[in-house]
This record gives sequence, C-alpha cells and structure tokens, in this order.
Amino acid sequence: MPLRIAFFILVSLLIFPAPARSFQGFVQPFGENASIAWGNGEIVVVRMLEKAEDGESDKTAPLAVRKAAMQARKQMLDMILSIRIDSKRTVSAFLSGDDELAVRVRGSIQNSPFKRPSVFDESGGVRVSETLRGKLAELVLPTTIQFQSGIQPRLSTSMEQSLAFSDAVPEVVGSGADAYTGLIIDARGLKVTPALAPVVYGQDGLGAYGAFLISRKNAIDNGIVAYAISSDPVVLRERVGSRPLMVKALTAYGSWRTDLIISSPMARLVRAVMRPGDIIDKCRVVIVVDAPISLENTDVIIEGEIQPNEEQ
Amino acid sequence: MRNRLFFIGFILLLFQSGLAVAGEVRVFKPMEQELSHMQLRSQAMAEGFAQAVLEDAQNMLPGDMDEVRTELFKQYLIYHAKPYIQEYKVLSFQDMDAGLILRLDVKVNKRTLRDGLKRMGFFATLKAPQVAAIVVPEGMSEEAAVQLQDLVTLSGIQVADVAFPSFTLELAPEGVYKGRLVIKDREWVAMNKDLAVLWFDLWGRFFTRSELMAFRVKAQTLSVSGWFSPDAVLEFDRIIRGWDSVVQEVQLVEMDMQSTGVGASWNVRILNSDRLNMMLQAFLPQRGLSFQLSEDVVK
Repeated sequence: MPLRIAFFILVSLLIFPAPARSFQGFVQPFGENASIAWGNGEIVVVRMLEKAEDGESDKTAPLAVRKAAMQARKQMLDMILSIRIDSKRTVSAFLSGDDELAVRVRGSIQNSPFKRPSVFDESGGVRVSETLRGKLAELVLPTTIQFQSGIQPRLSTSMEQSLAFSDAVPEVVGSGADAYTGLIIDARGLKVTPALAPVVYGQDGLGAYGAFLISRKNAIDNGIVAYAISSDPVVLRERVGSRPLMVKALTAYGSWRTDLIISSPMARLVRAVMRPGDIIDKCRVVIVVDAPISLENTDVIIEGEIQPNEEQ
Repeated sequence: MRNRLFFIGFILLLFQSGLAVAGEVRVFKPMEQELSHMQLRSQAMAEGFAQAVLEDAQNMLPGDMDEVRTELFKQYLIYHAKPYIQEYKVLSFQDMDAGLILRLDVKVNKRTLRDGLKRMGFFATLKAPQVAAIVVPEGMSEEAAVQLQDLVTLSGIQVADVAFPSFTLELAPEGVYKGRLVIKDREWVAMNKDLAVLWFDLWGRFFTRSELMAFRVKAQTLSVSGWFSPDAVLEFDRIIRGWDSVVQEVQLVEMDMQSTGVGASWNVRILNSDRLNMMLQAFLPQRGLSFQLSEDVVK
C-alpha cells in the first residue's frame, strides 16, 4: 500500500510539474495570515473561523464560514489596493478614478478561489486566493500605460543632473547579446518596493526595461517583472532561463523606490539583450530584493500604502 | 472513468480558452508586381483582420464549419471584417524580398460578431442546412451568378423546390439588385447595388426571427449557490455573458440573499451543453460554488 501511494505521488509530480515547482519568488507577508508571492503573483489569505462561546470552532457552521470568507476577501482586496502599480500610483489610487472598474475588481475578488475548512484540518480556517496575472492584472493595469511603445521613458532633468555619468561605454554588442536568456537585477540593500510596472533606467537617464518594451498581453500573462530574494540562477531558471544576464542596480528611484537605476554600460547591454523574442514575450526579468525582516515592518508599510489621499 | 473524462475535458478546455484569448495574428503576404508597397500592407492588414475575426467566430460557434464555408467566410471577411474590430495594434511589419510579414494585435467586438454570425445564419445552419427556393433573373451575369452561389453556400442554404422560404432576385435599372424573401406569414423586400449587402439584409431578418432562435436553441435555467456577496453574482453574470460559444441570451432572473449565502438564477440559451457543463465545473467548484441546470425549457 505505501508503495502504491509513493508511486501515485511520483506520477502526480511528473504529470503536474509546473504547479509543484511554481516559482513563488519573494513572498511578501501581510500580517500573519496573508502573503503575496511576487514570483508567480499568487495572493493568499487564510482566516480562522471565530470560536463559539464554548471555545470550539464549528468548521461546518455556515454563518461562521461566511464571516471568515468575507473577512479574508476584504483583507485580500485591501492588499491588492495597496499594491503599487508604478512610481506614481497604487491600485487604490488608479481605481478611485473609475467606479466601474473598482466594482469589477471587487466582484473578481468576491469570486476568487475559495477553500472551506476541512473537518480533518485542525487549524480550521478558510483560504482565499487570487493571482496578479490574467484577469485581475487586466483590471488593475491601467490602459494608459504605453505598453510596447518602444519609446524609452526619461528621468526628470534634476535627477539626470545629479547622476554621475560613467565613461566606460562597452563595445557594440553583437551576437553575444542574443545568447542571454533573461535578466537578473540585484537590488538587495536598496529598499525596493515591489510594483506591477517598474522601470529600469540606465545611469544615462534613459529607460532600459519596462512596460515600453512589453505588450500588454504579455504583461498580463507573466507580470512585467518577478521579484525574488535569491540571485541564484538555478533558483530563478524557471523565469530567466539557463543563461541570464546579471546586473547590479546602483540605486532605487522614485518616492516609493519602485524603479531602479543601473550603470550606463550595463543599460546599453540590457537594451541590446531586450530584443523581440522569448525574453520580451515571457518578461524574463527578475529583480532580487531583500528578504522581509519582520512582520511588524510589513504592517507599517501596508498602513502607509492605503492612505486615502495618496498622491496620484 | 467519469473523473478521467472530466480531466481530459478540463485540459481541452484550458487549451480552448487559450486560443480564445489570443489576439495576435500573423500574416504573410507574398510580393505582387502590380501592387505598391502600401497596397501590399493594406491587403495584409485586411487579411489580418479577417483571420482574427474568423478565429473568434470559430471559437464562438457551437460546431465546426466545413472547409468550403470556412474559406468563403474568410474571403467575405477580407472586405467586411472592419465592423467587428474593436481595436487593433500593428506589432510589426517585416519586409522581405518575397513579401512581408505582418504581426497584428486585434481585439474583436464579440457582441457585434455574435449578432453578425446570427444574421448570416451560422448558428441556425451549422448542424443542418436551411432548405429554401432561390429564383434568379434571366440575363444575370456569370460573375453575379457565382457570387450568389457563394452567398448561398456561405449562409448554409440548400436550394430546393419548396414554397417557403423563397428568395427571388430581380435586376432593377442602373445595376441595382432587388430581392424579395417570402416566408409563410411575412415578406421582406430590399434593394442594393451590392448583392452581398442585399442578401444578408434579407436573410438576416429571417435568421434572427425569435421563433426560429427559440426552436433551434435550448433555453434552460442555471442556478448557482454558495456566494457570500452580491458583487460576486454580478461579476459571474459578466463572465457567463462572455462564454459566447456555449450560451446566448443570458439573463439574470433571480438573486436569493440569505444570511448564510447568496444564490442566483439565469435564463440561458445553451448552444453546447457538454462544454457549458465543463466550463461551469472548471470555474464554480474551486470557488466553493455549486450549480444546477434545469431540464425544462423556460421559454
């Protein structure tokens, strides 16, 4: 019997390799019961059922299940609203200008995958989940973003002047650039805030990677970037392929530190690597950030992000 | 066995849905000496639109068109696809010695397309042709006769010696066609210089008669329960309205709000019961929802 079970598990792993090894990347905790995985975009909230007066939670009580599910989905909506789209706005700020879209996001969250508490599960909680890809991404990514425009964004003049330009310009990149399968940007130590549409600038002030290179459809399907806490290419292979270009970010940019600046020579190399093909189509870019220090710190960030009068 | 069938069905559904969302088309247009570069690009664009609309139409229809009808429809769309295009973006033009490759991102207006397919008779004649009498005038040019024959095939009409419906074509002065379509209790007349416009004007009225649709497509009640919020019901209403290929005339008729949860019922015309069942199975249970389809026709 145990052999049969082991065989079943092995076969399951072979048949369903993707979900089993799905790249979670940087898992940002929100309190003790929720998280956003910035690798595959999965958002999960687990909520315990309230205990009855006798101190026991009844896992089959419909009212308790409904209450826990409503609370979990409310928490998930708050998490989504607090996500930064780019350096200028959060999802909340974007939706505040479009009532119809806000209703659709709420409806989508209310229709998110849901697991009731199992009678065999001692913890006895409900689990709701959603993903920042596909339909939800279609709703929260503004259509005003100039996807695949090919027009490089430019840093503001004041910032441009304060940047030290590098004289070390690399040779024109030829066929060597084609060999790269993805891009890993090491931004550890820069206190980067994850965002749906960050921009990577060169020290020369011109955009090297961002929505201007990616089609809206590919951004919706894959996410413009993934975030991870490990720079190990083996760990990141699923997203960036077997031969990624490794770049060190110099600084984070913007009031919420969503964008990155890399050296001019590396920016030129990145632009050469970002040619039409798999890298662009599958958004094979990972930004490596610091691992979360403590849950308390994350709570502070959440509170700051859902301020109603935030700058748009 | 049933589980295995469901699993296979689910995989097929995933594959199918992947096709449905793909908005990118790729067209190769070979170089033609008599065409300028701009004309070649323009033709490639027209073919790209036709291809995108055809793909969406094939996903929307409850069955497969035969090859002849598919080719005729594609040719028709090269000149008539624009009303169905909601938006598009040229991704790239790649010029080569042999011609050019166009990559186009096209979003098709599905509601308009569904109405168009209905008017063209696709929903009514996909499984079985519509028998009709066709009367053509003497002295009709060979070119017009071929065009009429193509329209007959495209609309899924089988010509026979029947009383109704009967389509009569006449030649009016100044190259204008006059058509008359007669059914048992009604008659429609139209005039136009474009035979295709005239044809679909008249047959569109025939194929969109409510009694015909009611006869051809089953209507049932879909009941879903297990929601916790009315917002979720309204969102599912939007979702199921997008399942064009399996249901039509979706109408939310009831929302039942209890302290323990929210349920709702829809009247739907089902084009493909098996596929609808598969889509509901793929969407609802993982969201903690259960559903029931009534056996009875509701209207």
